Formats: sequence, structure tokens, C-alpha cells
Amino acid sequence: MFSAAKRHPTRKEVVGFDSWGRPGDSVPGLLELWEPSRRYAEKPRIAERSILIVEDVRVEFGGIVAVDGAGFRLEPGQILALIGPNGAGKTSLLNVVSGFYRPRRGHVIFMGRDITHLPPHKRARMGLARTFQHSELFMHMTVVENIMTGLEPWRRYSLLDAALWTEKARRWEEWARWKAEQVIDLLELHRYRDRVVEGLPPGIQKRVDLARALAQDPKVVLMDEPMAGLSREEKEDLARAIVEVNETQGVSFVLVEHDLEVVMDLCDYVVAMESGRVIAEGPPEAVARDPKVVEAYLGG
Amino acid sequence: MPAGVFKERYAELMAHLRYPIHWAGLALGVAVLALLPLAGAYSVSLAADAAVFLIAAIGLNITTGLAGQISLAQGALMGVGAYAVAKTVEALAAGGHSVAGMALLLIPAAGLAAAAVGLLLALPSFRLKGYYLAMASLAAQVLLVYIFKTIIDPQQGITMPDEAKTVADIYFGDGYPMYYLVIAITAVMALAAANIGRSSVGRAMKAVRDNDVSASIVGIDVARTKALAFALGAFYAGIAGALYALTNNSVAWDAFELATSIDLLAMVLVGGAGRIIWGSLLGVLLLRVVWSNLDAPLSSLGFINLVGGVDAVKYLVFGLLVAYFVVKEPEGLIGVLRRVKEYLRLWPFSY
Ligand SMILES: Nc1ncnc2c1ncn2[C@@H]1O[C@H](COP(=O)(O)OP(=O)(O)OP(=O)(O)O)[C@@H](O)[C@H]1O
Ligand SMILES: [Mg+2]
Repeated sequence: MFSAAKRHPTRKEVVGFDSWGRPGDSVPGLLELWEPSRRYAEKPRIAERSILIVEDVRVEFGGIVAVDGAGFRLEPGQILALIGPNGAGKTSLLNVVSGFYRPRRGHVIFMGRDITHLPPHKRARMGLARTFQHSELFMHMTVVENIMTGLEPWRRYSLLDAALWTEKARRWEEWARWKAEQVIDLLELHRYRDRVVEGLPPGIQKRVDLARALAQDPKVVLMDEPMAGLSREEKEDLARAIVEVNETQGVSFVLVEHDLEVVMDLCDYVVAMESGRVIAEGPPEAVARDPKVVEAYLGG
Repeated sequence: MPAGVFKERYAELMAHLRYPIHWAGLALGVAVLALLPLAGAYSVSLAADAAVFLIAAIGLNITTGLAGQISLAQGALMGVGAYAVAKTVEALAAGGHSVAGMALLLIPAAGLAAAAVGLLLALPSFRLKGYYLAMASLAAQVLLVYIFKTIIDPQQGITMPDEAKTVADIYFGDGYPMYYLVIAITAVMALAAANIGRSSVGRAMKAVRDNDVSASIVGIDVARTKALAFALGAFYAGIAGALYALTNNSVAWDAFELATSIDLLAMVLVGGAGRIIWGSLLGVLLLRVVWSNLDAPLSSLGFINLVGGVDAVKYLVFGLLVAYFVVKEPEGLIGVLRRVKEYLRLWPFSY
């Protein structure tokens, strides 16, 4: 994911969406216009090129309506925040996007393809990664193994190669380890590389979760409350890592976040939800001033 | 890990034999196995029996230890492998065909036959977990034995002609040739399992075991991985069954009943679930080799009949042992050994 060739795609590669999910050059000069900047206001909005479109989603549990017609559009290279009081339906909406919940209504369109009915692992293979509100790591595996599981869809050798440990299997495993090391470097997980995840501090587990997501070469990462329970220092580290991945690789993010300070600093665009509905959206400053948002947060 | 030994390349870290002590252990193991026949016919048959069960236990350790899919049907799957060989030989002989060497030639086919049945056993795992999955595999176990009893082997016992176990005038049904063949096959199967365990396939299985929701979110096809774990475990059972058919005079269904499945599961849990080679080996050594040699020493104890006799005591101890390991030592004997090793490494400065 960090190889120079991929970081700077040649113009030829870029038709429609390139391997990073950035908009292509079917519109002349678009690539020059597009820059993974952190400020939404400075970026041209390319409406028809949104990398992820979530439309009019409704999720019900028995009688409870968890999501009631909510949706958002994520532009390539954008960091979008999904905010809202407890029980607003943020996690449920993310679960629809990653494929754990079937929505009653609505669509999820990723890179121009309707993925509403695709199983989670196929969405992941298209470049949609996810981290969780509560740690969902592989608890009995080491940190580096956790990260390497994200590469299994790209395994290029057979079961027989594995059993006989052929040159092909060895080479691929070395490559996979190298890829994992890149992410370990980025998120500074060296010290924990060979530690079993169970028993690691929560802050480190959050970082491992992000590392596992990034190892998949995602185009979009959905993060459910990545900052929850972290110390100030850990928050800053994680924020820096997110910004770095966003700026150097153009990975887009959807962050569900309660910490408004983080949201203001990090995000280009904010979508505010309450009781399953979107009540406001726009640039962070505008949403923070929106009376409905203020009321939802103070009232909730 | 010996201090001061650093590995430069990842390939070196992945190797099975990383340190001089590993090579020394390998040399010792090979020497012991090669010279074991000198200890007499009993140790040869004991070792061959242990090897057969080691293959089956390694298979179950892939399904249950590595992929977390509990199975109580490994014994019946051994039966599928054994009957695949014995029935085919019987049918060929009845049709007037030559069966020369067939008991050996059919070993891979027995593995594949069991793997096919294992795939069917994987179907409930797409929906069920834990106890419910265990119940489903229990049902499969009972059903398979029922099929053995009523359709495949109503006479209780199929004996293959010696000719079927003979290749190039060497009889592989017992003695040294049988021993070396079984040990060689076991070594290859164990190495293959260890390789799969450290590969990306093995990591995917562990991921499914630890958290199947996360496994799907990193792009792992959970259903496919479970199916593979069942098929692979059953393949090992099938090979073990074929070797059972080779090394025993006759194949009868009572060897593949629920008790065998429970024994195998106990070997995996007590030895070390997820440690596919060493865990399985320790489990087999304790619950097969040591266990089957306890009768004489136990019955020489004067009071044994006061507490219900040898069998009753063995059942009781077996139950307590399994319960203890499941509750107190989820890592099995391997985990205990590791702690002892840590302790010795730090000794006398333990803290
Ligand atoms: N699996 C479920 N079964 C039943 N109800 C559910 C389920 N998941 C969520 N809900 C309900 O749906 C509503 C939305 O929940 P959701 O977890 O999506 O909110 P959230 O915005 O993520 O909240 P939080 O900030 O607490 O994480 C809540 O009322 C919750 O009780
Ligand atoms: Mg939530």
C-alpha cells in the first residue's frame, strides 16, 4: 500500500476510480483539482463522484426504528464525521454500510456499485474497512498476526502450496509480513508486534484495530468511536495517524465521534444524527452552531 | 527464546527449526523413532497405534483448535476412511479383480472420501456455534455409526486379504515395514499441518475462531473457511482411518463409536487446542499411550476393587482430567509446559 508506484498513480491508471478510489480523469484535469486536503471548504465537491453514497436507510429491530431515512455522501479523500447523541443510530448505520444489517429500505453505493446486498467480506475486498466501538480484535493472536489477517483475501497460493510450504507460499508470506511491517511503522506498534492482543491496553488495541483495517489497502475506513476511552496523548497519536493516511494515501474516513474537539480538528464534513435521522450536515463550524445540533447535544 | 539470537529475515522467523536446540530435538526424535523396533513388537504396535491417533487428533485440532469449530464426529470420520478402504477392497475381490497393494494405494482416496463427508458436517456450522454445533456433530456421529452398522458392515468386521497389504512382496500389515510406513506418513501429515497452521490459511482459521464478525470485516469468507477447516480435519481422520484398516486385522464399527470421538476431543483439549502438532502429540501420549498401559499397574493396587475396579477409576480420572483442563488450563499441557520452561529459564531469579 505504501509503494511509490501506488502512491503516485500514472495518469493512464486513473480511469473512473483509481486503485485508491480517487476520482479519475474522465473529466479533463480532475486529478489536478483533486487533492486530499483536510479542509472540505477548499475542495471542489464532485457530486457524481462520491465514493460512498448511503441513501435513505431504514433499520428496524422489532418495533424499534434505529435508523429512519438517514444517509450521507462521502467524497474521495474526505474525512467525514458522524455525530449524534447515544442511541442516535450511528453504529446501526455503519453496520448497514459494512453489511451486518440488512436495511428495510435504502441503498449503499460504493465506488459506483450498489452493494446493499453484498455480504461483508465482499465489501471488505472492494476496499471498505471498518474499526469497532468495542474491541473486536482476534484476541488470541499476536498484533502482527491480527494485521496480517487483513491480507488473506490477497493470498496468491493454494492450500497445497501452504501444506508443502513451497517457494510461492514463502514468497507471499514474506510479502505479507513486509506489508504488515509498513503499517506497524506507521502506527508505531513495534513494541507490541509479537504480543498477544488480549491484555494490551485499550489505546493500543484501538491502534491495532486501525492497523488491521489499513493493512487491507482500504479506500474507505469506517471508524466507530475510535477515540473513546483514550487519553489525550493517545487521541493525538491516533488523530495524527488518521491524518497521515488520509493525506499521503487519499484514504477517506467516516468517523463516528463524540469528542467534538476531535471532530472540529480532523473532519472536512459533519453529519449530525438524532433518533435515526440526519438533523444537520455541512462544514464542522456550521454544524456546531446549528441550533438543532446544540439542542440535541444539550438535551440528550 | 534463547537470548542474543537475532533473526534478520522474516523467512528465518517463519522457519520451523530456528535454533540449534530445535535441530537437536529433531535428531533425537528421528533416532528414537528409527531405533524403536529394537524394543520389541509391542512397542512397535503401540507406536503405530499412537501415530494413527495422532493423525486423527491433528485433524481435529485443525477443525476445533485452529478454527474453533467443535466436532464430536472425528471418530466416525475415521470410520469413513477405514471403510472406504476395506469396502473397496472387499468389492474388488468379490468382482474377481486383483487387490494387490490396494490397502496402501487407497489411502489418499480414503482421505478424500472422509473430506467429502466432512464438508457435509460443515453445513450446520454456517448457522450454529458452540454447544449447538457440538450437538449437530454428535448427531452426525451417531448417524454415521448407524450407517456403518446397518448398511456398510452388518456382520461387524471386514477383513482384508493379506495380498491387499502387500507391495513388492513386502507385507505392510504389521512389523517393521508397517511401522516405518505409518511413521513416515504421520511425519508428512504433521509437517503439512504445521505448514498450514503458520500460513495465511491458518491465520484465517484462527481469525474465524477468535471473532467471526471481525473475520468477515477483514475480507475473510467465513463460511468457506469453516468448510475448509471441517474438510481438512476430516481428511486427516480419513487418512488415520485408512492406516487403522491397514494396521488392524479387521475393520469393525465399534472402533469408531462416540467414545473414540470423545477420546480424540479430550486429547486435543488436554494436549493443547490450537497447538496442532505438540498439543495433539501430548494429548495422544497421555490419553492413548500412557492410558492403555495403566491397566496392569492399577489392578496390582490392592484397593482398586474397593473403588469400583480399574475401568471405573479410569473413567473417573478421565472425566476429572478433561474438566480440569477445560476449566483451568485452556492452553492444555502445552501451556503447563510453557510455564515450566519460563520458570526454569528465569530460575533461580524467579519473580
Ligand atoms: N441489535 C439490536 N437489537 C435491538 N435494538 C438495537 C440493536 N442495535 C441497536 N439497537 C437500538 O437502536 C438504536 C440505535 O442504536 P445505535 O447503537 O445504532 O446508536 P449509536 O448512535 O451508535 O449510539 P452510541 O453512541 O451509544 O453508540 C438504539 O435505540 C438501540 O437500543
Ligand atoms: Mg454506537
